Amino acid sequence: MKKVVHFMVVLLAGLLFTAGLFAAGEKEAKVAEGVTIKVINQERWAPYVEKAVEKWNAANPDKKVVLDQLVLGYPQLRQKIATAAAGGMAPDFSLIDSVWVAEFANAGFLMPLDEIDPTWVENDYNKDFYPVFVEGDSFDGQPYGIHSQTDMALIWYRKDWFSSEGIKAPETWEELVRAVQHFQQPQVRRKYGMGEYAFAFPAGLKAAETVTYQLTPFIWSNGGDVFRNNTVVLNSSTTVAAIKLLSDFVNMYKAVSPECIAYEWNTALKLMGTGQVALSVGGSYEGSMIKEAAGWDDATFREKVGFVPIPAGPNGEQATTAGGMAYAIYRQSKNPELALEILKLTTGPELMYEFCASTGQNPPRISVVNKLDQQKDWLLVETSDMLYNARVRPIIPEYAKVSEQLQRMVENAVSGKATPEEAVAEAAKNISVITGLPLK
Amino acid sequence: MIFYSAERFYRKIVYLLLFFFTIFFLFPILWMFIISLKPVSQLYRFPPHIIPRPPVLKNYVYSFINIGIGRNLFNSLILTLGTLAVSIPVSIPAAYALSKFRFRFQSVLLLGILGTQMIPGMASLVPLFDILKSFKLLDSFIGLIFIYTARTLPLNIWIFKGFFDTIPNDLFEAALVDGCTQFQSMRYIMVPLVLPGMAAASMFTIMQSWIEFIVPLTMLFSEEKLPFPVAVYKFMGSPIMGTNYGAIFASAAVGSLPILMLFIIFQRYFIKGLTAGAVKE
Amino acid sequence: MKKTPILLMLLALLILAAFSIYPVFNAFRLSLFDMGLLQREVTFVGLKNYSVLLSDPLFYNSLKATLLFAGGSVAIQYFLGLFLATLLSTQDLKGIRFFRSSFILPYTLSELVVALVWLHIYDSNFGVLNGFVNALGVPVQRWLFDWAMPAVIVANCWWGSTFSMLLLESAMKGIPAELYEAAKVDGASGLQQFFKITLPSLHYVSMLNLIMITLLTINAFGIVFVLTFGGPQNATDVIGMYMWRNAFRFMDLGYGATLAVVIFIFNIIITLLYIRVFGKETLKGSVSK
Repeated sequence: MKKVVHFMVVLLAGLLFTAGLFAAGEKEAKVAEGVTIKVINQERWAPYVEKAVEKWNAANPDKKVVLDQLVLGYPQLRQKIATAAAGGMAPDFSLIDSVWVAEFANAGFLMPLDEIDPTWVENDYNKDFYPVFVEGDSFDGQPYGIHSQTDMALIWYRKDWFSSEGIKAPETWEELVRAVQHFQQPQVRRKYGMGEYAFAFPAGLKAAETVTYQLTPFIWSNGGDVFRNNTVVLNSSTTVAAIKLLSDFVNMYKAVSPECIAYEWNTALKLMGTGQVALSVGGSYEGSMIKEAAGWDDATFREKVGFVPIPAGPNGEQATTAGGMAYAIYRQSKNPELALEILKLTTGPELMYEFCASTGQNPPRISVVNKLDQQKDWLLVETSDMLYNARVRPIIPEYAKVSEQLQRMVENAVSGKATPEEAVAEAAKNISVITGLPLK
Repeated sequence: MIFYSAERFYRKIVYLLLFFFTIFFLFPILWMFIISLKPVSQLYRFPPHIIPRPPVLKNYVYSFINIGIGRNLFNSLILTLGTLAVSIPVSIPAAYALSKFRFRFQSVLLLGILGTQMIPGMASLVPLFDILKSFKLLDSFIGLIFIYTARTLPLNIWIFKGFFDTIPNDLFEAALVDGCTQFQSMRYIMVPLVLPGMAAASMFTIMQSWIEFIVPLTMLFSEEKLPFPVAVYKFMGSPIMGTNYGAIFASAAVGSLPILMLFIIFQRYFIKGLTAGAVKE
Repeated sequence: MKKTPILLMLLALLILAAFSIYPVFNAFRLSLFDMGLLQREVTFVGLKNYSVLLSDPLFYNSLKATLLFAGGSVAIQYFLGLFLATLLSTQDLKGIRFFRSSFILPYTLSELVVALVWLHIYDSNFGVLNGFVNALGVPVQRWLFDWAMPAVIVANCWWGSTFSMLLLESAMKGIPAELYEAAKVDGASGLQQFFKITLPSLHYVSMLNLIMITLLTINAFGIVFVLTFGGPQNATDVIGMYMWRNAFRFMDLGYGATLAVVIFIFNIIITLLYIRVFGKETLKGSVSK
């Protein structure tokens, strides 16, 4: 016993010592001079800001930048940047979910880009970024966010199974229902070794923003919307039809698990990747994760999985949401010009291509999309076509609360707690109270 | 006690039950280690493999070399030692006063101190942020150490008070007669006698400060100051990039090792010192 | 002489006042305002937040969920802790250090890591729990859907029972062995000894232990946050979770503070209830011993 104790004491000491070494080593490396730029970022994004700073320092030895980058996980990002900005500790710039831009801009935390460099906004930002982002990252007519990557809501389907069953990719709700019903048949499910349900989408608060992102296009694809001309127009027969469709997949066709209201944001893609379902509602960002979960290489993935935008309802056209993470500069920044220079490099064509291609994300710049390799980046090339028709989620300061109402609406209808009519009416009423906009 | 001096048959049952609970408590931890040794492609299998095939060290390499979790461990160490250095010396005299003196509102005060445990941690975040900001202690270890101290004080005071209660007052009065001052009697007579309580109080202080997450997340703004629990959550991804569970569990596993070893080494004193004087005879 | 105790306590009181007590007053103050992190104006609204609260169905739902969650967790944690402590107090137990170390392991992990581990175990499609269930020939379960509340309670107890065990075990150590010897001579069985000697001796520790774990459970939400996020259909939307959503998702500090004040008041009521049940003397005894 004594030996064990001694061994552990030694091990413990060793561990602490190593930890100390790591710490000391890094501290020495930190001695450099220049203007400090503070950044709050996420793990996968952070290296590209480092690269941008390196590039800047190489080109401007007289105006060196020292990067002070705080890296956090997505679930902590929102709370951190809000407390930092409200507490007077805002960074120079940070990563921000594009749907939060309006909230933070409305609070006065963000600096409009055209106030810093109007020529760049006019000649590069307005021209090279897809119009949907120029519109989506603006609030009150001024641009605030610079998209780092983007993604679109879509439906993944098993291309190989569809073609051997002689079914074409669904372009309308009717075709979607027919395809789902076909694959839900017990003998078909058995044939492909699927699970109990043929179709999957997240439909509850647990998956949070993913629900709003992936399922709002069902409302759009039937000609409905949440807001129009400063009125809440959610409560319409078109929205009700869309919510009824989602609810029917669970309650009438029994083709989606009732558990979908407890799904996480990535449950549907895991089911897709492991061959449990034939179709799933998802986002273009899931491509690499489906591959990973399935253990497929790129060629196999391309062979087995296809995608379509959210199919058209009886009163509308195919639709999709564009999302993504953007960078924004804070009012509190002492060097907004320098911050923007670093961001121009970070989100410039060169580093954006590198970032998007290596992480499997869609580039929000037209010139970068044109540069994509037809073979190697096939998924990005194909999905990017949807960007011209993509729409963004409502740009309003009360977005977080409105989004939760939309999630609740889907959850209540799908779980059978309310009829689609009731769920939509209640959400519309609550959204009107939250935003102070009149109901139609 | 039920099994205190049980017959052979009952002893067997005791061991059986102990093994059952050992499995219940150990299995999730084992599972954490197992996941940390699996590449993503092995995570989504049903039924899952108990033994990763083949196990990979990729996640450990990633969290140590690429992310440098070592320095976060070091930060946690400093924070923990700092809290220990403030919380223990502050709680001993307070416990002594509550145990050996009689004064007005004493029971109210004792209740009040324990009552600070009633405050929901989330609720105090914003006011604490304001306090640290006005003291210019944001983004510093000192500010955090004060908060951690405030959170560990009630339990520590209670543990030490239990110890002082068991020490007969005669001993203390005899010292006064010998011409010791109050402080001297505390310093030379009482403190050595409560040393065992120190083990228990320290252990709880260490555990609580080692795993604290929300407070450092809110109060720190520099990458090089983040303690270990905050660093682990770097790997919590957005829907866009996915969560790196392997790296989370690999770092969590490494981070829980020091505490576990401390406990294994000192558990005897710990158990002895936890609640002296709490049993009414 | 008279001032000595105050002097001795001064530092502790100062730290507690600044970092524990002041925040409560601040929460009271914030609850009277309509304010948010992402709001430019701060308006004094008096008791409006409280009247909103009283007509908020989600608030009542969260009370119900908290009652279930805390009730279940506290009962299991206390009795499991007591049971484990009893097992560990067996005379001449071999391997006691191993058992005790195994039981304390969960306590060395942070709440969110605990939750993530259980999230993997419970996963209805790929989780190891369903792997076991499947191997036993029982149909796989949707743990976080059909069994959401029990699932979060089990995860919470896995993490928290250790605290009760340690406290109670060390208190049992303090019970003089002669008492048991005497009882044995009188022919008392093990069970009788437990109820006649052990439990009464643990009166004071039990009360403190129950108060502490109850408050910790009511204030905690990390496990719920990761495992169910309050769902499905708000079944596990405990009050801590609801407060977090308001304060840090919607950045509505005023309403978040109102909920915090309500939690605080509940905590006081519950503590007083415990003291009532266990008898005021229990506490008095600790002061004037």
